[in-house]
This record gives sequence, structure tokens and C-alpha cells, in this order.
Amino acid sequence: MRLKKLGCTLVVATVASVTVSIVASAGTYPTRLANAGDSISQGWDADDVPHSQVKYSWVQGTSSVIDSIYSRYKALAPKITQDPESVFGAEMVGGGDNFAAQASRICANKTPPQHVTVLFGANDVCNAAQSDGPDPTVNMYAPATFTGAFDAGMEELESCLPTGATIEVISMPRVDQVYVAGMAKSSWCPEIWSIATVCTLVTSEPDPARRALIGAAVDTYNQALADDVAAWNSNSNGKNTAGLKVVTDWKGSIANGFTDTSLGSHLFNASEINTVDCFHPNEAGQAELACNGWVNDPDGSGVESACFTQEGN
Amino acid sequence: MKTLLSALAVAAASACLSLGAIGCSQSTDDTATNGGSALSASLLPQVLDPVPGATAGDYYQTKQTLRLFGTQPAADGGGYATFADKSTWVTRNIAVGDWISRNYQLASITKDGVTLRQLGEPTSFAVGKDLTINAIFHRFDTAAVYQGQNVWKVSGTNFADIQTTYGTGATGQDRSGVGPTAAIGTVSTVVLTSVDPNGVLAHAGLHTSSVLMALNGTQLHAADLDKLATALTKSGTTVSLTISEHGAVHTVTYNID
Repeated sequence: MRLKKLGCTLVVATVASVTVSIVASAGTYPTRLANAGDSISQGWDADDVPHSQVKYSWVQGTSSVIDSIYSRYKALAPKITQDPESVFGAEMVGGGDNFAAQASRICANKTPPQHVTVLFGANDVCNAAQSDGPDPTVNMYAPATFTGAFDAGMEELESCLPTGATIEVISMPRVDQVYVAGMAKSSWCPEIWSIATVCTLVTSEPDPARRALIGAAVDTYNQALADDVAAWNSNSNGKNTAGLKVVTDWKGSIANGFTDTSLGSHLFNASEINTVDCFHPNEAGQAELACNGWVNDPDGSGVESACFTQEGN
Repeated sequence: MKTLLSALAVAAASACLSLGAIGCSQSTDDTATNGGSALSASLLPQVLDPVPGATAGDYYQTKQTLRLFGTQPAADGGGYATFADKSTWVTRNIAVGDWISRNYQLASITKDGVTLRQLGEPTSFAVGKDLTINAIFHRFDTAAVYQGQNVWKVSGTNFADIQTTYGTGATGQDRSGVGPTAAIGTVSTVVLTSVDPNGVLAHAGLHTSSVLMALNGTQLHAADLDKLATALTKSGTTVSLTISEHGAVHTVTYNID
């Protein structure tokens, strides 16, 4: 169900920040952060100017408009530094900038971080070839491939992070919901998607039932990832000898009643995506992602405040 | 099948141990640097997909550890498997029948694993496991190695030989109109309409439908593709190629040794 306007998302993010600062003040905070991810973590087009706009990134940003994970930690531990490794177009699985490759770059730095934030998956979906067959997801990686690639990155991090370090894994967005947001935003959006071949798996798919199948496949990825995160955190897979704390924002799918409780279950709306490619989060969207990342961070509030809103619909 | 990554990107570069028919004037030390070794001439007749005119000295063998990330079997017996080179974590999607190295071919796949065929001998390889192979490569295979974050390391000599042997290996079409983003406005681009996997541009990571915008800051036209290929052969230089991909404009940097 769509909610009424709750007001400016930036206000929501700020309120969340104040809340968590109080809760977190008793903790011992990391002195170094790192992130692995894709264009979302690069703040791509966030201020409606093409290209990486890292200061508006939910995780590494420095703009007060966003109140990023980095900014929130810096407010608690002013000497904190960060090692952002996210790359535009990166996949969890494919290419030369995948999670495992970025994790190895994190490990290559002299000072290993005590906190790593991970967000991949949208490109794994969007880069899959379209299919004319009955299943539009047939060319997507199998979920086991997706988690296998995640495991490879985790193995890299496990080999270099200090005991007790935290890895926060953010679920991937439902790209079919981003499509809905873009269609609601402007008649320009489908034009630019076509011209610039933006996530054609969904943007070139006219059948809503087939787009829903793609969305369901994203849910499957997110659930498989969350199961894997749980296995790492509990060391039930026997691989977490460093005692890493591994957490995720994912609680369940939209279909199972968990709407807007994680990035992966967020129903994107027109006011949260930029006007350049109509697909990446704008400043308001990035601020919501920062809020979501923080409330699910062990050093954050742990309170499920209203990070995601449905304004603008 | 998913888009194939053009870079083999193994942790080995070119190894020219003798002058071959197509010429090789560099890097006998590359073999030592990257841990590869010369190919025995007796194995030459058995390499998969031999390069025309190549001699044993144009090939090298190296230990390579692969991780099988997963498989995507197709109903018709085809499909692809996703392999990562553990030294770099660069992945490749390999279709049934295609080769992983010049002596290993993907023979079959299931949801649980794959069978590789090495010179006729099958080897099983399960999903999630690592397998170290003695892989054979031609020096062209690693003429360009992706180093992450849109940076490539290129052997100018090997690219020159690729150009001699196979040519630029691409055709393109000039397009002018609205840019990939509204803020960019009207732009002229070159869309690659065909790419030969053996040619220079394929080795540089380009593929059919790649959208090229500028070479070292100068606007590109379809007639300039040979100029681009030649630029990639100039040792000691850096080439910047501006491309548009997935709604975004990037600069890809080629550092040419």
C-alpha cells in the first residue's frame, strides 16, 4: 500500500541520525571504513549531474544532505578514515571489479578496515541478456552463482580483516520497482532508457507479469544472500574463523509483507530517482539508503525507523 | 548467453621466447615475471584454436587456479559456466564448447559442476571449488589485461601483431542525436556494429553495440576505428577512450607497455 507523504526524506534521515548517535555513543567505533559496491555507492547522477557524485553517496558521501554512513561514523569518531572501492557497473559475480576483486583491493591496503559495507546485485540483473522465451530471467546467474561470488569476496575479507570486524551487506534494489518509479516520473524516462540502454532487461520488457518475474528473481537473490550472510555470521559454514560480524538489512520480500524494511523491499517512487538516467537514486534516495544502512548497522540504532518513504506518488 | 568478458586477464602476460612467423620482439622476461614457461613444441599441434602462423614460442603455459562460481545450464544441453581467476577474481562466462585456455575446453555443464576436456582427458570440476590447471595461452590472449576501475594494461607489441594478423576487427556506424544523458545533450558517437573476437578492439574489451565517443579527447567517427587500433599499439603511451555504457559516460584508460 502506498503511504501518504511523510514529509521531506532528508528530515527523516536526520532524525534517524540523531537517534542512533545516542544509542551508539557507548560503543567502540571503527577507525577505518571500506566499501565495496557499484554505481549506487558511487552516488551516480545523484545530484542530476552525470557521473559519479561520491559526495552524495549513501555510504562514502561527505554532504550533509545525505548524512552518509561515513559521515555518521565521523560524527562519532572524528579521526576515522575510509577506503571506498565501489566502481560503476560492478557486479557481484562478473567482470574485473566484482565483489571479490574489490575485496582483494581492500585487503591490499596497509590498514585493514574494521567495517566494510557491501552493496551489489543490480548490475548482475541488469546485464543479463533478454530472453524471448517464457522465462525472462533465464539468462540471469543462478542464485548459487551469485552467492558463490559473494563467498569469494567474503573469503578475501576474512583473510585480512581484524577479529570482530563488521561486514554489512545491503540487499539489492528491485529494479522492476525502479522501472515503476521512472514511468511515474516522466515521459522522458522510457526515452532515455531506450537511448542509453539502461537496464534493458526490465526497461525493454513491456509485460508487467514478466517484469514481476524479474522482481521475484531479485527477491530470490536477496534471500539467498541473507541466508549466506547468516551462515557467515554464525560460522555455520566453518569459514568465519576471524569472528567477523556479518549482518544484512534484508528481512523479507514485499510479497511476504516486508515492504520498505530494506533496500531490497523498497517500493521506489519518482521523487527518489534522478532526472538524468531515471534509474539511480537521487539525493533524497541516497539519504534514505544512508538511513537504511545505519539503522541496520550494529553501531547504528537498530531501530527500524521510517527510512523509506512513499512521497511523491 | 551473457556477455562474454573480453579479457582473459590471467596473471600472466605475453611471453615471446622466440621470434615467430608473425614476429615477436619483446618480453622474454615477461615469462619469468608472470611465472609462465615456454610451451613444448610437441604440444603445439594440440592447442585449441591455433593462431595462424604461430610457433611454440608464441604460446606459454602457466599454473592458473580457477574458482567455478556457478553454472547456468540450458535445456538444449548448452548454457554457460562462470569461472574466476583466483589471482585477480576476473570472471569469464564460458559456453559449452568454448575454451578456457588453449588446452582446456568446457565439455559439459550441470547445475552442480562442469566437465573440462584437456587434450581429450575429461576433468570434473564442482561449483564453488577451486581447480589449478596448467593452462596454455597464446600471447595474444593476454595482450590486454584488465586491472580494474576502467584501466587496462596493454602490450603494444602484441597488439601490433594482432593488428597485423587479424586487423582492427570491428565496423562501426556514426550516430548523432540526443546523448546518453539529458544533461549531455546532442552528441556524435560511433556504435560498433560488428566485432571480430580475434581483432584488436575485441582484445581491448569492446564488443558489438559498444558506443565510442572520443579518443584522447577527440571525437571519434566510424572511419577512425583503425586509428584507434593503431593507437593501442604504441608502446610507452596512454590511450584514453571515452565510451557510453548503460546510460553513463566513462573514460577507459589503456596503459601501453
